[in-house]
Amino acid sequence: MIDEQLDLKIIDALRDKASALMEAVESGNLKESVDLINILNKTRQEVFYEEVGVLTRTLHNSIKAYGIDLGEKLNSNSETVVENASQSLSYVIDITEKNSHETMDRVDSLISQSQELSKQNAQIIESLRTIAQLEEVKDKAPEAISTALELTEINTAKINEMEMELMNIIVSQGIQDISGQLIRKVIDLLSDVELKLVSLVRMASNIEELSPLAVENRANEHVEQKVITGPQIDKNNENAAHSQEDVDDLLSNLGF
Amino acid sequence: MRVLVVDDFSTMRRIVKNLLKDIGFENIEEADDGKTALPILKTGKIDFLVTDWNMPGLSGIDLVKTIRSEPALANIPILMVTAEAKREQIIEAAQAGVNGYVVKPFTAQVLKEKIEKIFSR
Repeated sequence: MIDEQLDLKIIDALRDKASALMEAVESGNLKESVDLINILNKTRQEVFYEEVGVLTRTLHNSIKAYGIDLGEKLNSNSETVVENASQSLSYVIDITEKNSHETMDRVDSLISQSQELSKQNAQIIESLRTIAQLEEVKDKAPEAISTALELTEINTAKINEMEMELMNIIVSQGIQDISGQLIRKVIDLLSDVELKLVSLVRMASNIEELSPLAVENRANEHVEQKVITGPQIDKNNENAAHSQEDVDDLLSNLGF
Repeated sequence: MRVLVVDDFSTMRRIVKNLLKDIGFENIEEADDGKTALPILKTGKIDFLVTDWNMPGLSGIDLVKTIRSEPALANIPILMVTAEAKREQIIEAAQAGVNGYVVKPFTAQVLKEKIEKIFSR
């Protein structure tokens, strides 16, 4: 849409100046020819900035329709809806972190209780083996003592399995780190978009003060940024590892 | 043996710490980014480093590069535990000198295997 508007206005300007330019070129008037070319260039820039201004104002109006007033941000330090949203997301990180720690507190407590049970079972097994050696027991209750031994050993194995599962519950809390990283990325993105939008609205209201060179310089300030991509949620991205096996394969191909 | 676990999420530090304890590491210190980790490493008391990549302040990859460039710290074994999973990042970490690379989310078994592999070399 903006391209069409630009084209139409530039074509109008070209039509307007084309014959004068042809005449100046044919009559060998270099100065006038260059002046006319400069006027055409300037017209192109002016049309472009006017269109950017229109587009920005339209965008600003659309955003205002959703209750987000960037004008407030332009004129004061008041909190915007975007900042509110960022705070809500930060709160999600905080509560999930708190909740993960509470879960791990409970699991840690269960792990230490099961370790205690394991130790006690080891003592019971030792005692049962000593009792099993007694002649009286050998004569009168050989089956009872071997059943008790067998069951206690099974219990020990089950307690060990439980401990492993409890450890897996602790490891699974790592999801808080993964989701937290993704939420932080969204918060950064929101803040960035808001900042740039505020700048754009400010620019639109001061278009006449802007020179093309200043715009280019300011745009270039943001080119050199080190990219940290975070958790890979796109399973089809061939440039990312999607499992520990992928990481191991890549490293072993590199000779590590 | 003294271990330093570096991660900006306290949840992840605790998980790694638990797993390290489970395989017999008793002395474990913590730092929440590369900047706070460096002075601890420079005390010369750390024998093994487990670090995340994406952290504010000094990132994990820059921490690895700094360590490998300092003769007093250059030989510390390093395990990187991170959600960064792009091929170019894994290659960058390997070239920077990590001894192992575990991608999050991981299982207890994977982390233990990688740690044991580092110390079996």
